[in-house]
Amino acid sequence: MPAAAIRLGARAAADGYRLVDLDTTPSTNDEARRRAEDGDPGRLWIVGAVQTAGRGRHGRTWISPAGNLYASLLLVAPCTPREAPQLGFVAGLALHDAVSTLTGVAPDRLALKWPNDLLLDGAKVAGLLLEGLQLGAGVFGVVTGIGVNLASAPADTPYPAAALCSLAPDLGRADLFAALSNTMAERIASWRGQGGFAAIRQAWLARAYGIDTEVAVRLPGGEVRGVFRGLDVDGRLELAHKDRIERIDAGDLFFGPRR
Amino acid sequence: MAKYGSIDPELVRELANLLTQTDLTEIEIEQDDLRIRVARNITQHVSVPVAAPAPVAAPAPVAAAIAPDAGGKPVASAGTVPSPMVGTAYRRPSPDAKPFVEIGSRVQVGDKLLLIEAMKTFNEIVAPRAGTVTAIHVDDGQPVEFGEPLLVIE
Repeated sequence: MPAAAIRLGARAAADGYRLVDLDTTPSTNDEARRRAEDGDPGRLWIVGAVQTAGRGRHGRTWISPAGNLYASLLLVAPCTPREAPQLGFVAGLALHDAVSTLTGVAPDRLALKWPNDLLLDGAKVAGLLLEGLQLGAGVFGVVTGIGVNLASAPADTPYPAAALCSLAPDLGRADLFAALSNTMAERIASWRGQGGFAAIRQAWLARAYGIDTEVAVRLPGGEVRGVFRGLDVDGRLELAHKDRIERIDAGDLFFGPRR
Repeated sequence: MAKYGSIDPELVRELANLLTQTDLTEIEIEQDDLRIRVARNITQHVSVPVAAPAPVAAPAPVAAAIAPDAGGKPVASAGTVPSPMVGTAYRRPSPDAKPFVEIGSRVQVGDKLLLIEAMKTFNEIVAPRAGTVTAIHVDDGQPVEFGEPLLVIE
């Protein structure tokens, strides 16, 4: 079966989003950044069939073979730098929307992991990396990079990984991207509209994995354990720990009691 | 780590000079496996309180111009770069990479200085002005508050 061409969904096209579809690129985030620095006005999706230097959090490699989805969305002046992390929750929700609609998976199998990974049966099937850019003259841009394990998942990852093909063997990159471009357009419009981040936060919490369970968070200075209580108004993780609530903005989250 | 023999005395001298010039109490730099901390004791001279705060000197073009307060701690000067958000500061693009800047680095407007992460969103902090980095107030992986001084460019 020949691969269908990557295309925007109807809602995304109607909202003025554009698409650049590449065969091979070092990193869709870097390509989006380059175009932003060259003056692109934003609402631009970069999709790569293969990434030769895909990146995860803090310089980790995102292994990027053909068959999976690698897409980055450039937005110019969507929000302030302080609000940029909100976009990760917007994108996580949009991913969840797209995958649940396309596959019809039971709601309890698909969940969001703080801050913005997508889990299928507890294993990571997609991850995000957002980068805030200073584009000169006070203009702020954000690149939302999205990697979805569609055909294959990497082995030996710090967190268990899975691929969506186990759920939907016929789901291809083109259909997934078209759906995702639509759900992103919808969720972004909602975020910037009346509901604001409060509505995004509520929707995210309704799909969150591991609320009220024991978790560990690996921080630059070490690990903290506690009970995952929820999100604060900015999206920070609320961890109940030694009779108080700690708010965590950066770290790797692991579920379950100490092993 | 057996690199003490390779410490450049000139670097230490330069840091010590910088310490005096900027009226800081200590400077610590870290590069690869090497960490140097230069510190001094400051005797506080408590003078008669004045009604109005002393005006902060305009930054001199070459010499450092951090206005010292009574305790020798740096206070915000024209060259201070504040944090635009709450998050975790990183001095390098990835744990194995070199820091974006060190004390003494010369920077141009728009050069990257730090990253601040919150919820897997990495915001770049760029130089708002050209000059020399005279102080770095954050360690790699340190939590920062909104408005907290990150570093100083003079």
